[in-house]
This record gives sequence, structure tokens and C-alpha cells, in this order.
Amino acid sequence: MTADVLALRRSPLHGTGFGLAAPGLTMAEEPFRSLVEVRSPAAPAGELVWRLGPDWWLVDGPPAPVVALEVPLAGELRAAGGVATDVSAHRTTLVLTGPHAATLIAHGCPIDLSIVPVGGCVQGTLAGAQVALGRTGPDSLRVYVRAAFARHLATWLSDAATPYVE
Amino acid sequence: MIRVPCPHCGDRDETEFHYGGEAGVAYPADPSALDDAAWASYLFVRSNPRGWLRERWFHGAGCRRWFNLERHTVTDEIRSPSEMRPQ
Amino acid sequence: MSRRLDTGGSRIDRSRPVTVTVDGLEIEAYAGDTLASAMLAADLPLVGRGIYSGRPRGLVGVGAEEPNAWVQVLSRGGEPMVQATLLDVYDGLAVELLAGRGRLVAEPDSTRHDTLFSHWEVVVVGGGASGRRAAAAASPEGRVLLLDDGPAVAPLDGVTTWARTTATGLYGHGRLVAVERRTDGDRLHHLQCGRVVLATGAQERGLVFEDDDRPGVMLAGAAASYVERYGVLPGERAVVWVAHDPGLRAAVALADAGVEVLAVLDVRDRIAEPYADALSARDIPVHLGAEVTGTSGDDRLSRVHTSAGDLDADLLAVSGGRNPAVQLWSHPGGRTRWSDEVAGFVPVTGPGDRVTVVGAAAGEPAHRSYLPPATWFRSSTGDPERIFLDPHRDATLHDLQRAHTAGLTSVEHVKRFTTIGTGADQGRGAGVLTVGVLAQQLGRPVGEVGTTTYRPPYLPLSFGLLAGRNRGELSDPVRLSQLHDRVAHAPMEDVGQWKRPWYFPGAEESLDEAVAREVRAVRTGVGMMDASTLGKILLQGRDVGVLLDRVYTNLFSTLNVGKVRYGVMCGPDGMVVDDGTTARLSETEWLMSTTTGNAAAVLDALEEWHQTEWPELDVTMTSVTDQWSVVAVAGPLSRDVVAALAPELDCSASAFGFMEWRSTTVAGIPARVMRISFSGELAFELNVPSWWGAALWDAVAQAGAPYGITPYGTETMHVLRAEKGFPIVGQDTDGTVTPHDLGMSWAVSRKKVDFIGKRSLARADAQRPDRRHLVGLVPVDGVSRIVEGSQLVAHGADLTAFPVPMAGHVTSAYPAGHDGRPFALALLDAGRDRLGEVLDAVDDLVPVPVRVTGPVSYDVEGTRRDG
Repeated sequence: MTADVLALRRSPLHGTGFGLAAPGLTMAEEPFRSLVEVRSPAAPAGELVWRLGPDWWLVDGPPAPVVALEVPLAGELRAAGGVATDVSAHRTTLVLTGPHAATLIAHGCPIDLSIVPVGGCVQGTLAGAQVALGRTGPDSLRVYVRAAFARHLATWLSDAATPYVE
Repeated sequence: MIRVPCPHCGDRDETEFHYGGEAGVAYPADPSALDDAAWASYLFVRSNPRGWLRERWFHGAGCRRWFNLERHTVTDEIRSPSEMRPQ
Repeated sequence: MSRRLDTGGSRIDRSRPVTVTVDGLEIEAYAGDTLASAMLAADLPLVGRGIYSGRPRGLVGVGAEEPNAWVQVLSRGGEPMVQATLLDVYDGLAVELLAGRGRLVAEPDSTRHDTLFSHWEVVVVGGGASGRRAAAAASPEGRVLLLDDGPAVAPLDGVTTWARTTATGLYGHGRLVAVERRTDGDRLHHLQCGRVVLATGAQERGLVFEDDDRPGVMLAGAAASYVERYGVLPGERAVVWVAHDPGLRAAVALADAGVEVLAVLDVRDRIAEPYADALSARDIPVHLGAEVTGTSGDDRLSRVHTSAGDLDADLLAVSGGRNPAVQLWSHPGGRTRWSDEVAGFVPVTGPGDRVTVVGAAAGEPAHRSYLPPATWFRSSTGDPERIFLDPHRDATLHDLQRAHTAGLTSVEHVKRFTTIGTGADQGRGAGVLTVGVLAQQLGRPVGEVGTTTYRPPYLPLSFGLLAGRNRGELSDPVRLSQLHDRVAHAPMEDVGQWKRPWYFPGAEESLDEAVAREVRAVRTGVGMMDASTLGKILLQGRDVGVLLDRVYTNLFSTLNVGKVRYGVMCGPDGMVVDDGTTARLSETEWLMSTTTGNAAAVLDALEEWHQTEWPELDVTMTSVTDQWSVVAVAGPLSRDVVAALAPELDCSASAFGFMEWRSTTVAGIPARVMRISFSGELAFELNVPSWWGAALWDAVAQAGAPYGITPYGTETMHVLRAEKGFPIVGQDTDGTVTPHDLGMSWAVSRKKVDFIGKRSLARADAQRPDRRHLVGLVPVDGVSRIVEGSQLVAHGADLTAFPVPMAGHVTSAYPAGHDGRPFALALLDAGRDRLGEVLDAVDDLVPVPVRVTGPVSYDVEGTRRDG
């Protein structure tokens, strides 16, 4: 039953064919991540924890194979003392890697990503859509975009990538 | 285009912000105690100087925090960004 | 005949010939040529005609100062009004000459223009000697960019160099916009700069005299540049007339390239020895204190008239001085002043400490200038109607004199009166010249007259370039519900950035027919709609109730867990800004819904009140709009459908009351079910995490099939709610409407000490009995359609007796409600006191007699919501 219901989930970019694997640039959606916004003065524990603003964090965890109104990670973070909100289905995660990844974003985002260190995160607009951009490595970025904007952003990214695909 | 120095995120494009008008106009403690003129003054009357103005800005597309700064209304020069203090 | 020299031309590649078509005539050129150099090499003297006079016009300049050579490009999708001096040739380039005005291209532009943001510690504009020095000196400061509009920039250590890039606008706080010309489409660069160094050089300006617009009259420096850059001889027999040393240098260069220079005239009474020697060594006669008084020739120059006699020549090369290129300096507010030493306007007060200017742009003297330039603009003789100040606008000295006669003395006024400098070239050639001539006309010093204001862009930018990739489906972000694929076959309505299904037509069904069917289904059976787009905000904390009591007009803190309440929000001015329902999920968690278009504004307003006025409240807010997919199941049979889907849920009216919510599973999917209704019918809203949205839609459709469940769109939703008199904020309200005007006094608390808007609602004006009220309207004849936006006037009012007193307007109108008859909602002066009255709803001067009713036209007693 659980497996059947889990199989019914559709990520925002399901069926769009979004994705790219070119020498200097890869793009992919990582669907169904456990995403939780936390309000607390101190950083919550977690593998991928992004600071969105003062006392405001986004925790990105692996997909949870459970059928529930909210992902278990939200409950865990609440138990640890933060005010936690499940946004796993509110946002989806795009992963961009390669030397062209930051340039690709610079076609539609005025933020200087070069000053964002590994582990750092900025929120702003990319191609008119509000996003959080987290850096996981010198050439790798995670883009968190609201589900309703995901197709627009995916279309825009695929178009912007044209000069970097040979 | 101006660059707005968010105290939390650094310099960002104006398009990420909402402008909140003059700072220091506090919501009256007891609106019902004000006569119509005093209430209208709270709602509508601002100093509108030619020169330095202390303003409120909201980094809506970023950290979503309100903050204050001083802007010169002729040159757009900006100084003294600071976190919002209760008014 | 070719004017191409056998050797020379620093910018052309003679191994790569290209063919270009001008007005149907094929000409040969080389890669690296501009269209202007190609035409000059092919000896085509005509490059355009005067926009009003139709007079033939020839090439004057070599760059952005060119006033005449603006062409219509026909190849590669086409482009109107392109400056030939900045148009790089390519094989197959085809153009048409113009008379000062291009034509918009009807076909979509297929060129791939794009946009790029970048960040620099220092950007230097201009790759000349001063710019290179400044860039090299800045290189330790970090990311340093040197850009130049020429075809190549030599590499520089520690500096990024971009060629073919023109800075078009400098804005406050170090934002520079530049255009990079690329073979596959141009790129608009947004450069954020720590500081900007302007090394933009100076632009040569001409001199004016009778028939100065005759083809064959060129700027002297430009003429020499055609030799140096493109290996093209601009004439065979030349007269050179100058007011400064660089003009003399051009005369020498032209002579050395093989032009027979018949005479050099200098307005000054002496020239420096090195130039006197150089000209004398080439046997070129020099006339000091001399001027050109006119020209002759048919469509091109054949004779030059001078104060020293007439000369047969096919080239008149003139040079009146150099204007420091201060346009970018001026864009963000930099000031200039006239300098007699420079004979030009030079930068003075800066636009801020981020911007500096160096080299010729700063008024530094030109290389190998020995004597100061003359402040000299025009011949003392000639027919003012044949002395062209701005050939691009076909404006003459006569026009300027007319402006003066009309009493205009400010250069800004003269510009608007004569249109000088208002063409696509923005007066780059004519501007300072006009200021000089005006000063002479007024008998005032040039510096007193001053310049007009330079505004971006420095060069024209195409709309295609400004749009970049934001075109077609990318022109504005589109927001899609997570079950969009299930409803994508329906015609869509734009609601903000959302696409929402408008109606679900069956085969050959019209909008009206489909909506009538959908309305019938909800009123008599069951319907389903995607309600996911409503804004949703999760509020958490101990003080949420306190906050809600302050921002909603009614009381919320008393709401029990498990219940839902409808609320209205006002601005401080007492006018309605939003409405929606809020559910209490737990002691400390509340889920607020907002109208679809207002979600961001409501969240922003809540944050503003919390952060700036009541930071002591323990509340956090998180947008969760996209977290939830919502399917509304509405109609008398909805309970049967929901019962089938959610076997664990007791859906009976006694167990699950109106305005309550329950957690359960729907078709196995974890869900929150709310009993709220926007149609007046028994209804359930099923909320699931949005990755199950499509599955939920399928499950509802399947479970509802035995009951004939009917998908419905926004149009039917509007009809259903309008029959119940539920207003839509932003449609039935317009920022001047209070809750009382909407008949919602029941939602305005009298007990609360304060809420946002309360004080304004206490004003006498907010309590006037004759304010506009929300009312219903039906056509008197029962069949005539009422048009949304119609004005309401007295019945039988004379519509020709302007002004017709207006009593209100129609805010929502529909061709058919549940009874198949047209009806509408309206805002009407003192409307609630006028029930039964007959008025005319006027659209386009056609009156429709309407009767005023209450806003609720269906189920007035409200008995249907429990099924």
C-alpha cells in the first residue's frame, strides 16, 4: 500500500525531460527531497543546512519513503527545538554542476555568486522566479525553486544552456 | 537601478526589495484616541525632504527582513544601513 | 570604381572577401569592413536622404557620430535604422538606404539575443592609451575589465578584455550596461562595478557653412581613419578646413595616403611650426584665418567656395574640434563645463566617487597638439536655410534662428523647438555644434548656454536585445498547479502569473454552454475544481491569535482547533485588501488562505506588521502555497464522493460541520479535508502534499464518475460565488470599498479594541449612508445581458447630455445563473436603500434597464451548504 501510494507522487518536473549532461554543465532535478524550513537562532543539525536569513534555515535531507502529511524530518527538527515547516512539496531541487553552472545562472540572476562560499546560500530571483541558491562545491550549485515555478525555470535553464551545449 | 545594502545579505539589486517609505512613523498606541486630523497625518503625511531621508526597506526576494537606511533623495547616495528597531 | 588602396587597412582581412547588397546593388568588401567603409570603398556617395528635405546625404563620420548613414537591414531577420558606421559586414548583408526613418519589421526576430550579469571591482570603458594605462594600474584591485567597441583589444596582464562591446548606459551605484556584438546575436551585459573609469575619448565635431550637407563633406579625422583602418581613400582632391591641431594632422595623413590636398584652411591666425613644416614639405598651401563659405555640385561635391577662393574638389574634410565623450559621465548626474582650452565641455563635478574619467574624455589635450583649439563653429556667411546643423533631423540655422525669434534662449527649449539632437543619433554629432551656434546667435559665451542632458542609452538598443531570452513562453514566469497536466486541455485564464482552467468545453460547446452545464452540475449534482492556486501561509507561534485579531476585522483568537473561519483584511485606511479563510491546526499552528493573486502581498503585509510594529509577538510565517494541491468537491452529491474516497472520515453533517477541518486519507493519500464552500453548496476541499496533486485529481474523478462528477473552471466558480453575493477582492472591490460597503458588517468586530483599519472605519466619511454598496442587478426584461464595467445611470437618462450623473458601476456580470437568466453585481450609491429601483446599465452608449436586488440571488437563507 505504502509503495503504491509513494509511486503515485509526481515531482514538479516529472515528464518534462529536464536534464542535461554536457562536458561543462550538468543539470538535473532531484525529486522528493525532504525540505524543511526552520526558524531558530542556532543552525539546526543536518547534512545540508542552508541559512536563508537571520534565524531562518532550510534543511535538505534525503527523500522519505513514508506516506504522511509531512516528512519525518520536520518532526525531528521540531523535536530538536526549532519551529519547523515542511516545504518538501513546496519546492523542488535542481542540481547544477560544471564550470558553466554559475555563468548559466548569471544569465538571469544579478547576484554575485563568486562571493558565495561552499556551504553558503543566497535567496533572490532567477529568471523571474524566486529561488534559494546553495553552493555545495566550487562548480556545483543546488537551486531550490517553488513547485509552481519549476517548469518555467526548467524551460528557461534549458534555453539558457544552449550556448554551453555542443 | 540602485544597489541596496541589506544588513544581512550585502549589496543587492533594488528589484529584490520593496520600498517602505519614511522610517520612524510608528503605528499609534491608541488610534481611537486620535482625532481625524491626527489620524490622517499618520496615514498620509510624510516629511519628503530634498536630501537625506531615513527609510524602511524590505528584502522580499532575499532574507525577508525589514531594515532601515539613509538615502539622499537627490543623489541616491545610501548610508548607515541598520537592522529594524521597534519604533 | 574602387577607392580601395592596394595596401593598408588595420581592421580588414583581405583574404576574406564578402559580398554586400545596397539597394539591390552588389558590392565587394572585406571581413572587418563596416557597411560605411564598404560603401566608401565602392564609391557610393549617397548613403541616405534628408528626412524632410529629401536632399542627398553622404558619409560624414566613422563611428557613433555619423548622422546620415542609417540603413534598413534586410538580411538575417531585418532591423530598422542601423548606423552603417557601426554595422560590421558579413557575406549576404543586404540593406536599403533610408530617408531618416526606418520601417518596423513585421516578422518575429529570430536572432538569439541574450543577457548576462557580471561583477567587477573595476571596469574601464575605452581601450585607447589612457584606458589601457588605467586598466593596468587597476589590475591589483581584483576583477578588472577593459571594454572597447573596436574589433579587437590587445591582451593586458591581469585584466579581462572585451572587444566589440559598447557601454550604453551608466547608472547609479556602479551599474553599467553594455552591448556586445556577437555573430549569433547581441548580448546585453549588466556590469556591477566597484568603480568605473571612463576612457571614452573624444568625438570629432564639424563646422557649419552653406550646403554643408553635400555628399563629399566629411569630418577630417574620420576621412583619415578610413585610410588607416580600411585602406579606403575618401577622395581624390581635397580641401581641409580645421580649427585645431588634430585636423592638421588628418590633412597630412590624407596627403600621405595619396589624396591631393589642394589647400588647408585654419580658422586660427597661426599654426605651430611642426605642422607648418609638414604641410609645406608636401606643397600644401595653408590659409590662416580662412573659412569655407559654401559648396557646389550635383549629388556630390565638385567645388568648394572659400574665403581664399574657389577650388575644384571631391572631398571637403572639416574638423571643428573634439568633444570629450562625456555622455556616460552625465548619465548618473555628472556635470560638465565649457573649457576654452579644450574648446569643449569637460567633466567637472562627479556623479559619485565610483566614477572617474581619464584621457581625452577628461579634456586632456590630444597627442601632438601644440596650439590651443579655436572656439569656432560656423561661417559668417551663407543662407541659413542651407546651413544644416543637424542633418539627421534636417534642421538648419534658420530653424535655430526661428526658435530664437520665438523667444527661446535655453538650449533645452531650442532642442525641443528645432528637434536638433532628438534623432536616433541623439545629437552626438550636432549637439555641441548647436550649442556653439546658439551662443553666437545669443551673443553669449558658450559656457553660459550649456549643454542639453545626456540620457541613456548612448546608442539605440533594439527591443529584441532588451527582451533577450524573455520572449515567447519565457516572457513572464508562468506558475502551474501540480495537477496542471490533468486540466491542461481546458482553455486557461491568467490569474496573476498562474494559469487556471477557465472552463471545460465538451465537443463543440461554447463558453456559455459549458459554464451553464458546469453550474448545473454543481447546483444539482457534483463538480470538482483545482483550487491549488489560493495562497497559503502557515503561521506558527504562541501569539498567532493576537496577530490575526489585529490584521483581520473579525475575531480569530477564539477559534478552536479543528475549526475554520472566514476573515476580511483592511489596510490602515479601512479599505478591503484581501479575504480568505484561516484554519486552526493546533494550539500554535494556523493555516491562512489568501486570494490567488494576493498571496505574496498578504505575506509581505503580515511580515511588515510583525517585524516593524509588533516584534514582541511570538509568530513565524512561512509560505506553503505550493506545498498543497487542493481539489474542491462541490455540490449536493459531494458528500457521497468524499465518503467513497475517505472511508475513515465520518462526513455526516453532525460529525463534520461546516467550517471545520479533519485529517484523514483520501484514496490512500494523507489529506486535510476542509468543509468550506465558495459556491454555497455542500462542499469539501481536499488538501494533499502537492506531489500527490495529480493522483488526487484522478482519484476524485474516478470516485465521482458514478455521480457524474463534472470538472469546472474559474468562470463557473465566479458564477457560483456571484449568485451567493461573495465578492472577489480586486474585482468587486477597488481600494475604495469598506467591509460595510460589501454588506459584511457581520465580519467587523465591535468588541476588539483595535484592528488594522478600525480607526479609519470610524471616520464620518466611512459611515455615510450614501456610500457605494455592493448590490445585485437583473435585467428588467429577464434576458438582456449586462456588460461588466457598465456605468449605472438613472433609468431613461439622456446619454447625450454630458456629463451624465453616474450612480455606480457593474463589477461582475454573467450571462446566466442557476435559473438561466443574466445577473450582475455592482457598486451603487446608497445601493442597499434602492432595492427594486430600475436603472440603466450603460455600455458603449447602449442602456440596459436593470433592477436593483440584494447581492445574494441564490439560496438566500443559506440552507444548502450542509447538503
